[in-house]
Amino acid sequence: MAGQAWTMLVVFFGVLIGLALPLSAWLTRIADARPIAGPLGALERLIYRAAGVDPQEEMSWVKYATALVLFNALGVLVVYAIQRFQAVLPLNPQAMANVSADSAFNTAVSFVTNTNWQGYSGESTLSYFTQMTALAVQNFLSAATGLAVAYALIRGFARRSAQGIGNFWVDLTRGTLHVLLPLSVLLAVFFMGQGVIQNFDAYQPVHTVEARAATPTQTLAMGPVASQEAIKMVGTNGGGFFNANSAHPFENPTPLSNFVQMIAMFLIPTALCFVFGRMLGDTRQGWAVLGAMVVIFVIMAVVLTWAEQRGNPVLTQIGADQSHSLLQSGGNMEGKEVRFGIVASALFATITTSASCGAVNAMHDSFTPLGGLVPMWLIQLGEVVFGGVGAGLYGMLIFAIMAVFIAGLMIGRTPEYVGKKIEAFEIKMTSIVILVTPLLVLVGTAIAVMTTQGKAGVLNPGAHGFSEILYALSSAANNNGSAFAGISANTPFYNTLTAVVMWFGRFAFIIPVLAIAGSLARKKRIEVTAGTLPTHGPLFIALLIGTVVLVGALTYVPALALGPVIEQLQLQAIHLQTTH
Amino acid sequence: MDIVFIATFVALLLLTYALLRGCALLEKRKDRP
Repeated sequence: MAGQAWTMLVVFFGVLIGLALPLSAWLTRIADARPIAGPLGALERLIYRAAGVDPQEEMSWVKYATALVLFNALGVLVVYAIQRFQAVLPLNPQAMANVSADSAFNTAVSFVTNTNWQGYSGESTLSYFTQMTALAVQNFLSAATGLAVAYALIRGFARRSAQGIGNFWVDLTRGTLHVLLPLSVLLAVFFMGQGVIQNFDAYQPVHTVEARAATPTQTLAMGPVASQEAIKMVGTNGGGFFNANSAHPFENPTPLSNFVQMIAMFLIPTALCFVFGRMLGDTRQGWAVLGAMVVIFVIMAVVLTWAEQRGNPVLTQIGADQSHSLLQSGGNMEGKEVRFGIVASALFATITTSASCGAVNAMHDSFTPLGGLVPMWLIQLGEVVFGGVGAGLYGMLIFAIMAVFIAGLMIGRTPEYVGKKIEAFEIKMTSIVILVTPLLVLVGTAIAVMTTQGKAGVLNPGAHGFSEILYALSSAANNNGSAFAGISANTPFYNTLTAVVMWFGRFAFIIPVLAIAGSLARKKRIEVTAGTLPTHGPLFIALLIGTVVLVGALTYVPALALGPVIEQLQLQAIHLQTTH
Repeated sequence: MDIVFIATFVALLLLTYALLRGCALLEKRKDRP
């Protein structure tokens, strides 16, 4: 791997930790029920009064989960209705027609579940009104929902003999008002400074540089992009204003905007690891969870960058120059922006699939098979390596429970984690959480490859076509939202299938997590003894990494063997033919 | 077509509610002596 790649990685983590530490102090304060001063605090109290919410009320996990699911269900209906009536709604200078029922349903579930899978193309389907009031609003609320669940689970660990795990309405309002909104305003202004557009203009016809071309004029899509771009990244949503997402120069114009977008994706997930430590009163616990995430992430980023810098042996065979020089990036540049090159594209892909974001600045479909396997597997690990806002932490803590359970079985002791006994009920709920997404991915993929409608969407036959389907279902079930592309997913079949998968991938995961939070909150905290497994040291970090990787490997390797693994072996065979 | 997708969504909600009640039931059983 080139020195530039290592430098980029080191600078990235330096800036990330430098920003996440102070943010974690604020996030910890937000989790506390005490009133917040200032104009935003006053607005918060006004919202409670208007909505009839008692901010002091503590909710049981059942009440918390019911409020959460009903609130998000209402979100689906609103987003669906706005899309179905957008032709008669304002801010529609391109006179976009109403969105089809299947696409509207898919998009509504997609944005409410923080997946932001996009079967449609933004610039040719949605009005500015729909982008702003339906999609951008859900970008905030879905991220705040994830944050709320993370708070509830941390409270479960931190509280002693408590009946409640917090108040969903307070967590949702505070996450939106005091965290996501201020960060988004800052980022939107920064992005506008970099050249991201923000307007309500009609699309602009421009004359191309080559006037002799078959199409001497080109239409440039416009819109309020910067405001949506900010929350798209910081809320780990990932749904692009334009179809090309962060590869579009109006969404991601410069290397600096690209770097900031990468930081934005990891900012809250990293800070939440520190929040976990702070709320427990033992910051080492947060560092341990973060340590496990960083180790997996760095290995994956190195493999992806190496695979792409190595180039494509098939292109070598036909005489293409893939060497690194002052004139070109070298390696496999297919589907990558020349503005970003291989390192920034590979790092972005690793981050976006670790962070459950789904924004893309390169075509994942064009990665080498080994390079493409990395983002797919990161998604399949359950989006626990940093993960989405809130979702990454609560997912990783579930793996931590599994890790201490396995350790407990090995040494014959009742497992415990950060002072809470892990008993049968928690393990039953953990099992549901760990099994639900693989079930959705593998059964969904099986349905797609066995039906005519499923196979009709595949544009590449053979192993690569299978990879495209597997990636799509993995992305939907784990609420990532990025696509391998190369698959025509805007059909009634895929729109319905992925909508069902996204819904259960989100809420069939969250409900057992909240059940664990409720159960843990009621328990007493037990004192550390000589027999307690330390969960802040290298041994536990290794155990946690092993659990995440083993569960991911055992679940998905057979499916991966039919897709990217076969493709890589085919490439190796060509490579051997050309060199011998 | 709208009615098909609204009905699908209602089915998703009912299944989600069933999961929630199922988890709550398991928790109650845990507390039995």
